[in-house]
Amino acid sequence: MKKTFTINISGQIFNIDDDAYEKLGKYLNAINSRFSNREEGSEIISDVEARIAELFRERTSESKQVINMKDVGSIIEIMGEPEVFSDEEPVENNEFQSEKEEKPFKRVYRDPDDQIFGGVCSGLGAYFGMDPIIIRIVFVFLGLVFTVGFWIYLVLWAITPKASSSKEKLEMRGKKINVSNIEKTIKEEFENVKSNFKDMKKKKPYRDARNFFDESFDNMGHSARSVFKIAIFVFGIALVVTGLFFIISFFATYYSENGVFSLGFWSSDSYSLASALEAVFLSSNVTMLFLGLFFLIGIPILSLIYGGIKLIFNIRGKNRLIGSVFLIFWILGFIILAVVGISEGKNFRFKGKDIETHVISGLSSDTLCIQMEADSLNDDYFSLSEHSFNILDKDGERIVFGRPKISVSLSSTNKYELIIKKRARGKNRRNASDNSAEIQYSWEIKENKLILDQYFFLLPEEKWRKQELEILLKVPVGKSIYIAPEMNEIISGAYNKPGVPVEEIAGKTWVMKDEGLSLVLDTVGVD
Amino acid sequence: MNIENVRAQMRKGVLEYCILSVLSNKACYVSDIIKTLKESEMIVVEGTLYPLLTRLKNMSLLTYRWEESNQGPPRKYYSLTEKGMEFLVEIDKSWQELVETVNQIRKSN
Repeated sequence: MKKTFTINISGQIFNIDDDAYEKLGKYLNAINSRFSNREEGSEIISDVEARIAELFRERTSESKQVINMKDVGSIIEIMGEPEVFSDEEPVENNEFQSEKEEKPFKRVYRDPDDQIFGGVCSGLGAYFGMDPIIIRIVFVFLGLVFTVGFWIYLVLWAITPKASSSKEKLEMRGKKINVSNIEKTIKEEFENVKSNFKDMKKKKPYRDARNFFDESFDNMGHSARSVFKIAIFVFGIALVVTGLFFIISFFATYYSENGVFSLGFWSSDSYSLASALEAVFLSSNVTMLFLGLFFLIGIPILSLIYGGIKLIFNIRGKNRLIGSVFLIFWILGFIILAVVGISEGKNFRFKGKDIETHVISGLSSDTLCIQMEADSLNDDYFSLSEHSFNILDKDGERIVFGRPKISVSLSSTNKYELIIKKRARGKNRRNASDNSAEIQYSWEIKENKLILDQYFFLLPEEKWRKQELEILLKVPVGKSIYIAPEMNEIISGAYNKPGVPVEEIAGKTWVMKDEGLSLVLDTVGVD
Repeated sequence: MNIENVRAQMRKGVLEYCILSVLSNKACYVSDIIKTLKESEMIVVEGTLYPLLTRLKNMSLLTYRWEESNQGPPRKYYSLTEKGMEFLVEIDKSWQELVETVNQIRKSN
């Protein structure tokens, strides 16, 4: 008595012996693999199966209801070996064929029918053809004496598949089929036959696998795209936030002391950019300047924001108009700055000066003490150029001032001479010279002291035109001067014997000789 | 390389031509085509036929319709298309030329 399978070929039902079934399965698989990668493959395969069904039909009858090995063999003869099915060059079919059929096929499985823990030992037993008990003893020994046996067992359990289908169970034992073992799992195998043939009927096992990978990559692609979209969204928000931040700071700090664009941000003293500009430029120009700066700096930032918004809301499409508008305004900003720069620059073209000469006489002693007035401005101020451009906001009023420079030289007469040189720029000579005359500076002579103001000032409505003040003190031969230490900062030069650096002039008393100042005393102050 | 292989190679080249010729006489079932070609010993195994039939059909040289059969599944009933007809005429010419050329070469020796 033999066991049969019920199979379905091309919609026809046949009963087939189990060994014939195996042979037929291999044959059909081989043909499948030839065509699974071609478009018309499925059509060819269904044609072939239809023909096989026809041939089977001819070989079954009332008296012979089951397809046997002989039938399958003759069908293979009639249809041809799998190689002839393809259009490709005929392979030397002999070796190929024998390799596939003859080699006994054995694989390591775990045997679920004889398992204590995982069926590892019985599976190994089936593979090696020995009683699992021996293998179990070996494992126990390995496990107890060397704990590694336990781990080996676990690893084998994990990596060895369970022989669940009858095909796998056959493979576990090799080509030898043990009927009693098969009888144990009759029900299981019926199920397996159905599903196996269904797979064969699908005719594209490999294509399915490929579809699976395609789909998973597709899904991965989808998720990658989603992640990418989210990232873009976040980036877009970041851009918008940054852009807004810059724009707001630009505005806010243009007019206040704190912030990115205020002058104080980059130095220790703070003052607002707007006020500083107002000191230099006409108010109208300041507005223009602001506009120009805004365009120049703001437009790129605006385009960042715009880009960010586009990313956030996933707006596609390059709106050329917006881009051109942005570009136009940016260039406009450039132009504005250029125009303002040029027109204001005209204000500095010409130089002018105003010179006052004062003769100092009636001193109470032979030594003239030169010192500075105490600092009248106690607050922090912003200084762009110590000797020329400093700004301070005092009681709401803007004060522009500078430090004078002082130098000492030889007097051509026998009197002390104080020469105040005021310098400024202007848009023409007259204007320049007027500007220089309007520099405010005071000093006084008290007993034997020449007290100089620390700063010169601009009149409140005066714009800064590179005003400078230079004090030249001429000392006659034989007279001496004492230069107070605080003068150190504004001494720019003294007519003296070479070798004395400017820094070391202050805080000492000097006497004027023919060849220049010469050190008298190194003491602190003759009061 | 034995003689069977050489024969098989030669046959393979003209097999499509033969299929077209068989069908030019009348429309047939696949099994009829197989029978005719087997009788003239053109083919030994049937498997070679199926891919060729499908290919010729995909080239629009053949067409088929399904015919119900009382002995099993429905069967394909092939016939030559017009394009197939023209194609066959061309191949006929080529075949003639080939035969003459080969005979020429044989005679010259």
